[in-house]
Amino acid sequence: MAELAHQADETLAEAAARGDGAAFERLVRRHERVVRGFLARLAGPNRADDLAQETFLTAWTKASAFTGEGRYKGWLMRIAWRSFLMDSRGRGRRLPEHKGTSGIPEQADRSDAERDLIVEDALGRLKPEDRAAVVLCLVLGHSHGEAAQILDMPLGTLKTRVARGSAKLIELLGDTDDPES
Amino acid sequence: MTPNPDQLARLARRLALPEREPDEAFVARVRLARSAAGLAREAERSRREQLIVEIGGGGALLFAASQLGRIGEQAASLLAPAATSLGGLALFGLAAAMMLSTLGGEREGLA
Repeated sequence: MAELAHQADETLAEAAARGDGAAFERLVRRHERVVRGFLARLAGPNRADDLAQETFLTAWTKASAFTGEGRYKGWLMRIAWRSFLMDSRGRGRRLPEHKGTSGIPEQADRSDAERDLIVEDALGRLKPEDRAAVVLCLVLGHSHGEAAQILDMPLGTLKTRVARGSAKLIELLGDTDDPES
Repeated sequence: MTPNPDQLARLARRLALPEREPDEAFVARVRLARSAAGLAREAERSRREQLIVEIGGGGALLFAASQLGRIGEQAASLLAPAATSLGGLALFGLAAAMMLSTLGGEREGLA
């Protein structure tokens, strides 16, 4: 078990494809924070865990589909994005681009939860594709090329979405480093 | 407006996911979901196998029925000429003999 902790994702993914549950569990442990974070930013915290579970279940049942091209994390994100899209379509709607009309609350004297809500609200005002592009590139550190592959869109479109989404978020959240301000 | 790199860096810090240890409860949740999915697949396979056996059994019954039908037709084709050549009295005698033989068998069985 301790050996698994130091193995590369690709080695663990190969073992998982052969039905090694312990190897797959190591991958879940390693990536759940990022997958759930991505989905929470995309779909909101209430749906994130169900979608993340669906993502890992698909990754397990289709483990042999990971060919080793690109990073395992990118492959997982691609599954997560598709799970999100399927779920949204299944609900007969896309995520609302605008949540409420109350605007961003006043920024004085905020708790962590309030700050999270403000970020969530601002993200909710973006189109899902813009939101996903911003989160993948700015928050999770994927390259534009990787993000374009994950979201299955041309590179130019991806770059436009990152720029547009970032600009909108800066406009909504303010251009400041200090979340307290 | 296209944000400059400094603005993007500041935005990234505001959107960053909090660092934390792996969530063992979620890992266990995925483990349970995998087990449940495995059991569901197993049950589905069993149902498919049972269906195949039932279809096979049904086919065998149909085959047996068709064979019996064919034997019946052959027996009828053998008996029909005899029935037409025998007179009504002879047929009545034959039926009576068969009935008596059946009754005799039943009586022996009871004794």
